[in-house]
Amino acid sequence: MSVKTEKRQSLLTRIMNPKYMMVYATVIIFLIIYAYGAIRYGKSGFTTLRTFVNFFTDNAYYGISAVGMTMVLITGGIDLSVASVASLTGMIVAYGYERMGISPVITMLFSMLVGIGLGALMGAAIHYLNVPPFITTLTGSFLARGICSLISRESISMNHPLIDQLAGAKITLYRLVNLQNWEWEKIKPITKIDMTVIIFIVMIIAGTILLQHTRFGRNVYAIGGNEASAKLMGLPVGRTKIAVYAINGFCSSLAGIAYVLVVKSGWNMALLGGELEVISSAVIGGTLLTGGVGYMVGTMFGVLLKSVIPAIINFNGTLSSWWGKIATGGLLLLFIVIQRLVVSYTERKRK
Amino acid sequence: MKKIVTLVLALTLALCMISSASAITVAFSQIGQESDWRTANTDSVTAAIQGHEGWEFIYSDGQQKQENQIQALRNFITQNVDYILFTGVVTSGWDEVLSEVNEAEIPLILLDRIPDCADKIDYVAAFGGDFPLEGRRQVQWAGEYLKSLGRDKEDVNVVIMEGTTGADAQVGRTEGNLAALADYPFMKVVGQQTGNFTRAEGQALMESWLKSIDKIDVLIAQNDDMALGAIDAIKAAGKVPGKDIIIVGCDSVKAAFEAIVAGEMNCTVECNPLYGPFVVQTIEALEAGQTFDKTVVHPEEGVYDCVGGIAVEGTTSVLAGDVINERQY
Amino acid sequence: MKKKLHLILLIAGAVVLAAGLYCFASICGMKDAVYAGYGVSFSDASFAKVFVNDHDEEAVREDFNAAVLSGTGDSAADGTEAPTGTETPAETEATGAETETAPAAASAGAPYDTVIGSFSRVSSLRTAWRLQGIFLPVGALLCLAGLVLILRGKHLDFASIMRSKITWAVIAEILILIVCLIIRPDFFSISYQPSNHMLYGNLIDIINRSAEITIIGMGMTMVIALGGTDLSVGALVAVSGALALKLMRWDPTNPLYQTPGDYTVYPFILVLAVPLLVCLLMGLFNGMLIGRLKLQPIIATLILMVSGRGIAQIVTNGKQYTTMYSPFRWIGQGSCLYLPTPIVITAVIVVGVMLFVRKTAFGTFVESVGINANSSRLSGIDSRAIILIVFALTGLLSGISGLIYSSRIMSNDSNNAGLNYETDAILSVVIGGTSMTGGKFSLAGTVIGSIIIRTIVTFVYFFGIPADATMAFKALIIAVVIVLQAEPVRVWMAKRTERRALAKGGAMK
Repeated sequence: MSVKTEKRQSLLTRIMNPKYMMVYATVIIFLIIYAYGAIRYGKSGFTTLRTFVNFFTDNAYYGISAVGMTMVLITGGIDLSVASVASLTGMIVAYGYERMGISPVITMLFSMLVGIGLGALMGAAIHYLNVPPFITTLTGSFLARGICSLISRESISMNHPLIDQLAGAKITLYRLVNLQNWEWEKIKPITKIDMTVIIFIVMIIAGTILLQHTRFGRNVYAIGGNEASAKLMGLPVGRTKIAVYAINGFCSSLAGIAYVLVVKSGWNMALLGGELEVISSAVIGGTLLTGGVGYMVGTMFGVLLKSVIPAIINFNGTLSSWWGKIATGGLLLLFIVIQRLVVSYTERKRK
Repeated sequence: MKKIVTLVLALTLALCMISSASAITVAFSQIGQESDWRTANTDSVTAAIQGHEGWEFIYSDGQQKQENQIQALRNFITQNVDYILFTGVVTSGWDEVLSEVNEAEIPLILLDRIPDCADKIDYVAAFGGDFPLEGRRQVQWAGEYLKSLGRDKEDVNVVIMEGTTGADAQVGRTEGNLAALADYPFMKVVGQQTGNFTRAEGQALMESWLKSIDKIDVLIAQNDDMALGAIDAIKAAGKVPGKDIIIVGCDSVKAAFEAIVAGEMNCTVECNPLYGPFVVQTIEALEAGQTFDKTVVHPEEGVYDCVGGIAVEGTTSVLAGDVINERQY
Repeated sequence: MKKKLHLILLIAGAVVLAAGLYCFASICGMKDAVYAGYGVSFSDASFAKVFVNDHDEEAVREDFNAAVLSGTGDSAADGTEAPTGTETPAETEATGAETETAPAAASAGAPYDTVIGSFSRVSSLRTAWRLQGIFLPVGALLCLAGLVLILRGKHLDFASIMRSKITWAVIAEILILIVCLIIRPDFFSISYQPSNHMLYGNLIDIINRSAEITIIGMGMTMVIALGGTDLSVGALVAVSGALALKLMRWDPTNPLYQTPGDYTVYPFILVLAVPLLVCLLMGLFNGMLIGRLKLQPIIATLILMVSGRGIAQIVTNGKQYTTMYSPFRWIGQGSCLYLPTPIVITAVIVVGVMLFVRKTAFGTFVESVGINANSSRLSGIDSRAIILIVFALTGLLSGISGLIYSSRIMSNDSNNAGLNYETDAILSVVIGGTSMTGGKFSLAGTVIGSIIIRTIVTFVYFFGIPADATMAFKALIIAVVIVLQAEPVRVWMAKRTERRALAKGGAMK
């Protein structure tokens, strides 16, 4: 891909650019699985709009967190603390209001600060102390969950009008006509789009803009491509890395808030093991763990894929839900093998 | 994106024409398979509903995660099932999804663990163990047994091995344990810690207690698995479980009966997992148009021990050896 | 001069160890005296409570008598029934006579005076109690250090100690233990448990319970030295346990529930071999993905981490099988050489892996592949084979660990078996001083790392701190160790010590 040809590229070749391959693979597999579900369980309501919206609703909080995770993975790092930070956020909000009487607005802002601060701290440790991201963020994860357990060992359910309002703020789609005899009938909602889904989609869009259309985004890709050469090029490596971890911390606490809206409670064991769900969504969505490659849209479909598999198993009703785990493992295998092939294909082409 | 939505809409339109089958579909969102008790519970419900003619059964295992269960409940709604059976992994955080179930007008039957939002949502029936009662019975049995041995004159040191923090059973049983201890001033709590309802952690915890606490006379374990783990630790310390340390478990799984018969455990307070018949009865009654009020129905539960005839709240203990062969799980 | 340092270490270690053993023996002697005299076997904790707490003679006398009397059981309070209760284990005539002639209330002063005699003995016992706790581990450590140094023939100076990563892990462990010692001097007491032929005490517990992580850690150390991680180990622990229990209990010809007993459906050799073989194959699978397909280790092992637990659940159909089969019990709960079997198994594995790695060129190969896979390939090392062997070995070791775990609880627990073992194993490797970026590794460091992690858990249980706080504790200690081990910090420290040494040398000239 030399500079000369770039301008002349037709739409088709631009779309067929191998760097988007992974995203297409994700979308295609999602469609295949969805079509299978539609044919097999169409009768019991798999094809309804409500089911489709549920794919978003089910994992919206993981999706929000996956936005930050995608950026971290693009820089070639990893963050294992996201689920713990989200759980800590939930605990701060619930404990703050129920036990200390602090308004959720303040605790939400505070927990976002905590998320950003912890993220920046971990980013700094990774960059300046040269501690591997895996270990740094694992320690961060222990710390966040430990603090969470120290705050309260019990799950605290909370009752605040603001939370109720936010959780209740939904876009409702109604069906006014009975489709069997085309008569007006009692208004019955077809589906509702939750606040969390809106946050999820907004975050995906914001993430795309940040990554694709800003200097910061280009720095992120450059660092992931080759950190040493990025440094030589005079890019602010340290600042960018710390910022990426801080953004990820923000996304985790936002995910925590989204989770609070779903469960209206704080629990120290909430979202246990969620970090792996988030990472695997990003990987299924085509983000390379070696860094340098990854798109928000891919991540979004990765999250959707993670909801459609359990949905199919659920619609089946007799399969053990553990098959879902095995299927996710199989999908991961499939994707990383495809990734491998794409990478070696582009490498060969470059040669 | 747009295409997908149109596709979905088109499919929806097409499929709405087909009316659904007339069979009754019952969906069950279970916590997971964390213990023998839970497996027995699942098996009982599954067998009862699958065995019923004309009923379809959808089962979803939550793998101990609240988010999985929420997802399962939402999927039940989209499938438009006729009844939802629900046991939640934790007490709080179900308001939102259960109110969605209400909006979809699907009758909800709560099993085993009753969520704390139960007063805000509609459910047609609820069936579950009385955890505080079980907790009280554990302590009462230990107290009465000690009295019968004439040990109520001395100080008796008690350790309480709690379940997974925040679980309904842990909260309820701890409350019951502590409430009943007030009636037995000679019993003194010297240790209280979570063993997470698992054998391995029960074992490690007991091992450590045996070294840090000079004298342990009674172990109250909030489930049998932890008690069974603790038995091994007590043996390793050169003490005789069931004699040097009186062990009271909860749940009444078969392994606990075997331990009691072998003299290694003293008592297990029953927490009956066989919900199948109740569920079938309830659904049949609801189909016939009957309604239930919003009270939690408790199953008949006994206390099984190594001596028999010890009176606790609401019942008298039965010698475990007499009934071991009738136990189904 | 430098060679002599090893000998000095060894001799000093031996002397300290001997002193510790002497203290240990004198405590045992005192306990035996109580046992023989009153037929009471003291628990370590109550014995310590009487002697260790700082108070005057009168209080010790009261406490001791109370402990002896309560130890004999309530029958002692009646006075008349006491002999029957006490005579059974130790039939000394003096005991019988004493308890018979004097009612319990009146003879309250007797046990103390007959067994202990004077307060100076109490204070010497108290000192012995404390010293034993310090001497035994410190002596053993010194001896070990001397031995290792002699075997390796490395020279020793202050700067190299400061630069060594293991030093910090050892210091961290000793600091935790000292905190334990200050809070409860009896934390270190070790005694012999005749009923199951093994030593008994917190230190034994820590090593015993760290067995699973240590065993996995041996493989994980090399995986990390290659620059990778293995996330699947915890899931393999669950798979191994599930398979073993299934083979012992699942009888296709008789599907009805059977009482768990001292039997196995399939031969015991199969019960051991099949889980290990399956785990070995799963390890090979990981190795194939990483070695042949050149996949990222984190993501390649994530596959089995996610699906492994599902496989374990489906193997047992979600059931928890229980067994009483005694050869199987021996693996996790039996005794061997007066120690719990897991300790012996771990020791054998650790020594075996160390010999394999250090006595052959394998360790060097691993390190060179970890530092630079390409250049080591050019120098003729088959990096794919190395990767395959290391991951297969890790799989096998996880399988062994799974057998120990399930044998401890005599059942399978696919939900909780091996939960978070991957993080614990990785942490113990890192605390032990092996860098996550690959290259040089230290198996001994991993052993210490895994012991540190278990010490924290035991600490939390022992002192009744809410178990949920374990995580925060772990994070704190690990953060400190990691910061101390971080490249920039260590370079800075080494420079400082060098500068000091230089300054000193200059002054001497």
